[in-house]
Amino acid sequence: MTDRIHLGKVNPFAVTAAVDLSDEQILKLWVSVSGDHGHASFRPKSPMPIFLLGGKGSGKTHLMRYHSFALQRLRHEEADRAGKKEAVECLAKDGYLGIYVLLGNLNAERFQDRNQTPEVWKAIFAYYLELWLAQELLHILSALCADDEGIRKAEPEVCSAILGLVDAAPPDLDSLAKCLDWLAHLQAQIDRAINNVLFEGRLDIHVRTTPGQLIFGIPKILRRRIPRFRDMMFLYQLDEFELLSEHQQQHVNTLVRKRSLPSTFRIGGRLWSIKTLKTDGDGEENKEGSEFETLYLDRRFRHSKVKWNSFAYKIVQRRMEVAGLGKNIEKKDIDGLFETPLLSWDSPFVRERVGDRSRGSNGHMARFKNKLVGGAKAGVAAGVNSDATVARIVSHLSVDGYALLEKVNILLLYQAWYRNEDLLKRASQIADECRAFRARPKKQGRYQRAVQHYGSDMLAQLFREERKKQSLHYGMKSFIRMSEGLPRSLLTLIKQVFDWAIYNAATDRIDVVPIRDQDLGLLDSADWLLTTMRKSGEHEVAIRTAIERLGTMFETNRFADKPIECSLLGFSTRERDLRPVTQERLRLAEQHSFLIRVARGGVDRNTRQRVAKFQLNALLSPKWSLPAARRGIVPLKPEEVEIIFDPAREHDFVTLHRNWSDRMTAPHFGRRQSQPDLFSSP
Amino acid sequence: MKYFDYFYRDEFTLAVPCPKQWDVFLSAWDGSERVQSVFGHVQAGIKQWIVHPEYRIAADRLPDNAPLLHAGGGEAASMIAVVAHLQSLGDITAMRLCVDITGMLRPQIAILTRLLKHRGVEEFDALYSQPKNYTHRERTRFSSGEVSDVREVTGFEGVNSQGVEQILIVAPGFDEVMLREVFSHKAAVRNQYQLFGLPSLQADMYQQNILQAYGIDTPTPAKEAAYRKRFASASDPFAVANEISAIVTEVRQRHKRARFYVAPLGPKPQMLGSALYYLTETADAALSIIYPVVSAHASGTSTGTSRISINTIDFRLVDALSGRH
Repeated sequence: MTDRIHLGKVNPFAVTAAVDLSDEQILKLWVSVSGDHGHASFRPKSPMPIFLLGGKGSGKTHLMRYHSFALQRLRHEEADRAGKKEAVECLAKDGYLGIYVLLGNLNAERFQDRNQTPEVWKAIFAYYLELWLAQELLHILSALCADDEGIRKAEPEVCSAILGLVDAAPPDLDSLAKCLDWLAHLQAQIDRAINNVLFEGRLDIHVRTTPGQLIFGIPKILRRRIPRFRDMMFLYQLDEFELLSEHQQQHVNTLVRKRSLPSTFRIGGRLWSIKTLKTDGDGEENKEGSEFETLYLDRRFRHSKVKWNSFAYKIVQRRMEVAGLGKNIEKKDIDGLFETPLLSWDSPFVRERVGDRSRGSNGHMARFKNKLVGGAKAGVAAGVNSDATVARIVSHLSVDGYALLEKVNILLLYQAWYRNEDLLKRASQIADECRAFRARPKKQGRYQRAVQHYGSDMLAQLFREERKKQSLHYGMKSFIRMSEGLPRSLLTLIKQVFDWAIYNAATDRIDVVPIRDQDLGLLDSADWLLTTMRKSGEHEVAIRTAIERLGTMFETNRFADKPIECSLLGFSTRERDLRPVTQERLRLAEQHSFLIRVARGGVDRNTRQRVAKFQLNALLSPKWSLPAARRGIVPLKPEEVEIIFDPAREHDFVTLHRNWSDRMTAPHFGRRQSQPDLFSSP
Repeated sequence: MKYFDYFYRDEFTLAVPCPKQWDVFLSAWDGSERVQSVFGHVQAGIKQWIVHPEYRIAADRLPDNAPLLHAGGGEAASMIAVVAHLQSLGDITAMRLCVDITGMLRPQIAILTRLLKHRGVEEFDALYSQPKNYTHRERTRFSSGEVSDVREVTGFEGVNSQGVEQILIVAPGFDEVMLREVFSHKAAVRNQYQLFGLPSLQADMYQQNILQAYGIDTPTPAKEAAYRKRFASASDPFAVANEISAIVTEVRQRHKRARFYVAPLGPKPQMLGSALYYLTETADAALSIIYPVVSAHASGTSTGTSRISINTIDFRLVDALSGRH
């Protein structure tokens, strides 16, 4: 594409959830993951059941719907525009039939309480699920019957065999339509009985099948009676698994365990959706690898930045093309749509915004000077014994026109101060190092590393000192990094950014989205993520509190005199030493994607025990002006994590936070404890 | 379209005597000023307090001016107990009964209505007193606990069917957590209506309501266009039932077998109106009333008492409307 793309008044990212897309949109917007040709991860022809788990918006529904019958048919219609091939012939070529079911439509929460035992509800739910899945399959069959002679011929025979699976079935149902009506009638009887149980005092339901009888029985009949189904896998795709109760999941687990060819399952749900792995009978648990496999959708991308990057550009490109923003849109076209200023120490953007305005009485140099004077008075600033020394140090650290380097200089001096070094001597060294760096910025060295590591934090400090509310995360590459491998996060982020761009634009044509609108969109996306937590009951407050507290602590670090870690966005802890309730909250925070578990944990320096590492979801970063990319991880003691995850311990957290802040603040630096307890008084 | 305008409705204020008298007056204690003052104002042979344990009100803050009936054991069991208690007071089919729904929990209002109909009651009065304001205006939260689930109200479940258009009708209240939970629970439902209380209970409450409802997910106006907005008086259950009927009729002209979910999260008359509409649907109703399950409800969320309405729930009229479409 040669012309630049531009945005009009319609947001191409208005719909971000796959459930809101039509079948045609799902097909148009489909992007296969690179290296996943032939749907290697979904493996629709494999008899092995697969759980597809992922955070909100990780692409579960899109993946499952893409493999559903409705989309199979659409694909073949597109591929075979002449329409010569019959649908069933195309399905036979696929080798599978996708029976997609949104479990939310069952309103499964009705199968509980009302003075009935869990066993009664389990039996009724099992029967209901049989009827529901059987209807889903017969609806598909009925659609195929309309254009396939073979199925039409076999219809009475198939119906008769299906009715043979149900107790006391009427004998005269010789068409799929009649069978469907009858099954719907049986199911409605259950709905009505449940609805009236409170008023009639009894649950009068005649259970006519045993578990699996229809679900596994109908595919067997079809395979036997209709030649085109002979080599086909019947794939029951159950989406929204989290909506089933523990007892109901136990029943589904039993079906997974006792599955019978040619039927199998693909079960989609949130990371936290699985409430049990138990099966009915002896309560034995299904084993991963033997009874089922699990595909973690978001981890798949988090483990491969290259794949995620390429996939992210593709889904954005596809959306823009489908929305008519252009044809053959390339990466550079997408990049060009967002104002992406360079944020390096010598970039015009940085110099223009914060270049030389730090000289006033409120500027960073004046504040540094005050601290130095205070430290000298308190006798805790080695080598600083007069106003003249202070002036010389300030002079050494000043860099005209390059505020960012000045901030790095001050930071390096704070670090030396913390180590009790002679400050005048160190300031002189820093001045030399800074000069050398400016002469050859690419030459590796201590100073160059400091700029590289702390540049982002120092820049954030400069912007805050200038009272500029800017997240400093601009452009597609930042958005991709912040989305943490979750397609919906990326789409939502771009949607919010475009919403603001469209809202604030003076014209109907937007060639470049300004940083102001990117900032606003980022803040909205952070709020959106925080409100995605659902139905976690009492843990919800605890988790939200913990996330707020972690955000506050990391923010304190980022804007401190001497941050203990650069670009801090994560923590490590000895997870096994936490109370079970805290472990559960940590797990829930991870499963809701507020925290991301860093793949490789580490070893605690003192105890040599293995520690788990977590990072705050970068999408939340703008809320506390945190970095988008993690560099540092701080070790937290289990007792500190306990405080953070317990909303009732506000007082302890205030102490913990105060001590945390003191550790990084000149001149006393938390009294320079080598390994201070964060919640013991300094 | 079913018209609920035939139902009788009257209004009064605390400045004048209550225009009706009853044999039994039931009211749920929530500690609010309007519930207390109305309880003292009305005339009835027997006055009875219902105490919902979900409010978690301490024993020393409960009233002592009338007998208390602790309605524990869950929404359905508690209302069965309330009806059993009423039956112990006399023949409920001949009783002049008034229920003040102001302090009652929403699912309980619906269940009690259906139970009374099932037990042969021909009519009862549902009283509702409007507040002058809510304690934290549009930021008032009516649930103090956390939402653990969104469920169909017992006895108000519809018949499920496959491959049909699904419609979500939400009457948004001020409690944005509940609103978000409902939208999230039925995220797969693409057709959504928002039924706002207009006229609202007080002049400024409509704006406050809009502020909360549109604050969900994004503040930009794009979201506004995504929902179809409808309006019905916030204090009038019959107007709410009328509007639900209008939406259902309109949708059924396009999708004969549509499946509806109604979530009345706003003022209590919205729940009563939804329940009434449900009772006029046939046995094959493809309509459910859904409501978030919360561990605790906030008590005393309002200040002052404005107008008080008496809504006569005439089940003979309900039956007459049942045959209509």
